[in-house]
Amino acid sequence: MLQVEDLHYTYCKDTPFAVKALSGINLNIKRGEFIGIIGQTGSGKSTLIQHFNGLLLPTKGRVLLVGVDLARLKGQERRYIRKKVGLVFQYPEYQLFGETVFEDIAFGPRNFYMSEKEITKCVEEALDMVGLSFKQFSSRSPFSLSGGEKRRVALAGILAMKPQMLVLDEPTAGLDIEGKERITSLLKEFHSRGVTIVMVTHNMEDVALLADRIIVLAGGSILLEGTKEEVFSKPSLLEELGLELPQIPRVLYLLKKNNFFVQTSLFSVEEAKEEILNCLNRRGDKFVK
Amino acid sequence: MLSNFPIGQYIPGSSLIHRLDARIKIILLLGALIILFWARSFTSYTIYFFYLLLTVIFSSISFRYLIRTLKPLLFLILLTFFINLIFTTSGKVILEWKGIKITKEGLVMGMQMSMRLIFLILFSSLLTLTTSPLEIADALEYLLFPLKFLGISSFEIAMMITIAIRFIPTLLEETERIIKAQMSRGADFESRNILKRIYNMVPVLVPLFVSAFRRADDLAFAMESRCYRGGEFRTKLRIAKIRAIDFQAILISLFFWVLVVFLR
Repeated sequence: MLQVEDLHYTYCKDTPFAVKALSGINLNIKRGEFIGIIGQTGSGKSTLIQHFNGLLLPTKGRVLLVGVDLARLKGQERRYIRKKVGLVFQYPEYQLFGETVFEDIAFGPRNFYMSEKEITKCVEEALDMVGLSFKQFSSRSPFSLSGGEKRRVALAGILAMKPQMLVLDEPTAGLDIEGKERITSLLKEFHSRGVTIVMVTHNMEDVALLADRIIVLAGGSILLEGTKEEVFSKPSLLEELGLELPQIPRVLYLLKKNNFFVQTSLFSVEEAKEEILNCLNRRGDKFVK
Repeated sequence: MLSNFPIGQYIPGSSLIHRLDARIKIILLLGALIILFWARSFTSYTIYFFYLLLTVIFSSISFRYLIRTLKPLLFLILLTFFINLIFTTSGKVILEWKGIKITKEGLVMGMQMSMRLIFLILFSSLLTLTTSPLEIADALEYLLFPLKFLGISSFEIAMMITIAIRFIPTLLEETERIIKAQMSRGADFESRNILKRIYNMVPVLVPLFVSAFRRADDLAFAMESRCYRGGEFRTKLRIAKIRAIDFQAILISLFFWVLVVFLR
């Protein structure tokens, strides 16, 4: 669906402040995939995803969406790309401005000249998707909502455009556990409906839980790429980058380090329990299953 | 985009101009701007240009980068030029077209005014490019001391200026972020239609104001929790001293100023 070919990007080019943010990124995102991008602050994650909907254009290289080079599109055509690729920024609740939740969510569809009837339908569906009742919320001011609700309204603002691909920057940052769970289960649901998802995050649990494929960025290039089993089987490399393993593989990894011969790339509590008990039994200690 | 905006940006360095005392720099800037209004003849403008050139060379800022600070104000410069060109009606007519008379005096006046504006912008940019905002605020506090006699504390004013300057890049960054977020929702900031473009600023301005107030609140809270209580008893971390290079800068400037005034 989206191809990135030898992408380079430099901020403030030709000024004393020039900073090279990305160099030589190659990436192929298939339709219906769920991709997790991880990396330290400053590794170029946010810069990369802004290329996906043409907000930034490469200094060198190409970004192709269904075969179309984004840099070649004219202003208005490029605007329509943003309907196809919905980009949710970090802390999207700071972009809310509407007098009512309805108006705010309708902003996207309205920008793409939908009819009033269609707009109402889109807003209703979007609110429904994020689990807020249209009746209760549509006429309230977005500024009167709680943090988690604001986040969901902001997300609905993007969903109302019915994007085929959803790109999210730290969607769960700064939310409480309940809010986090809501967002992750929402993402799971979109993915099962066939939406292509790219999620940038610091939260390893989320990536391990959701992503089909994980990409590790460091210093503006791709360092590792693969399934969660592949990526999280290199804990020492990740440690060097300041990235942690998700809880369960981390426990197993620490056990292994202390001479318990367990397999580390397991992600559920159940599997881990089995593995640890098996290991203890293999050692000959008397543990009852 | 916005972070490329060169006005008010500081480029750290250790050139001669960087090392000058900020108070002296501000006074010299004011002096240079006042002298500018004496210049009339071509010779005086040439001398003034060399004065600027010398400052640029000593500041280790590339001339190309400095010129970019003119870009946002290009419209103003052109407007000044054309207004003077068209509305100076007395004098020798050199061109007439559909009732608009262009006189030689108008042309000279227009060029003079826009040259003055260009020099003014370049010199001011040199100050902000070579002096950190903190130094400027400290210097202003010192230079505004006469306000004390009016019952206004120059410290408070300097503090406000420091905070305001400090938040320019933060707010620019925030603006850029919000613009990008709204563009991701299809907002059209590239439309040819001016009215539509203005109307489209609402989704940017509302969140920007909300966040500016939130930041102001946070800052006040942070200052209070560190027992901030205004001027009077505060001591300074850096105490600026006037040194030999400052006197040299004054002398060189005076030399150019006198030349400009005499050859006007």
